[in-house]
Amino acid sequence: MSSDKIKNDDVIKSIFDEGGLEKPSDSFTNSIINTIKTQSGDSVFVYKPVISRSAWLVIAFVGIALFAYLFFGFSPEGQGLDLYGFTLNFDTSKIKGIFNKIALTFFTFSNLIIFELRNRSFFK
Amino acid sequence: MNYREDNFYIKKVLKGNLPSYAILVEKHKSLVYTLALRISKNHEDAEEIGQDAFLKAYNSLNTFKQESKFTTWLYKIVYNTAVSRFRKKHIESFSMEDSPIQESIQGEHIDGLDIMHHKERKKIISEAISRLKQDEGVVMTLFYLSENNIKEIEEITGLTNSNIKILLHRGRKNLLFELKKILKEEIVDIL
Repeated sequence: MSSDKIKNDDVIKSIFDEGGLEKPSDSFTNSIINTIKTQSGDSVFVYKPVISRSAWLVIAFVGIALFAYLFFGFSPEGQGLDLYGFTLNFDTSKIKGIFNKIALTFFTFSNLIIFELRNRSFFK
Repeated sequence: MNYREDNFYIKKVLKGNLPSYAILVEKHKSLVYTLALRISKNHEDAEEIGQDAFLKAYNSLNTFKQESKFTTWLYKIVYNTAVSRFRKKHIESFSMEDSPIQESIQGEHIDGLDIMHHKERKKIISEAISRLKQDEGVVMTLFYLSENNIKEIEEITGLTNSNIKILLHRGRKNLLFELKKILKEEIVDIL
């Protein structure tokens, strides 16, 4: 490198050192950090249902299983529902048993309701 | 403020410490902004480019492999952000042609600067640098201000080694030419 070039390089370097650096506004850093905080906030508040999809599936399965047990469960004393030659066995004793269990924990069915359920003509 | 090594802050940021990123921004904001200004030639655009680049850097900080310097990686993001924004605006193409080289300037002293106050000198220097072509301004800023070597400038800008050397050569001459021109204008204004 020639001495002229080195000298010239030093001049340019000193020029850049003195006046080459520009400064952004005072709010530059805050603006960036606030945007990042907003971004992070968006990802935190993602909607989540109280009852999850899998919980709903379990509930639906239990419901279907319960109805299937009530309608199709084998019972020698069961009374059938005749639907155009196809008989659905309906075991009222099972219903009564279930209702009795529920009654123990939550509420009680009156004798009148149970009597009605057992003797409704619909199930005869 | 005395800053620590970039990696110290980067590790903290990756662990979720946002204030450490604020320190990183404070540490590098002036050079990032200056680099953006060399391309955009506009203070508002430079501010937006700088902020945009810092956001991109934050969002992809986990991809920074620390094979190169953090500043090299950061300036590359700044450069790409500025260039893509500039291309969208279709203002001017990045051309290495038709640059007026003033051969007679090399080696001359910029005596006028010596007798000026610091504020005036800074203003004139800043004006002269802003008159450089975009690619010259970027390469000169990276080389003289950020003190990146040619290999790092290659990595940041994607330009070839010989292109960078040509731009540095032209940039030096054009800067001295512009300085002399501004000083003459100043003297004419005073008279």
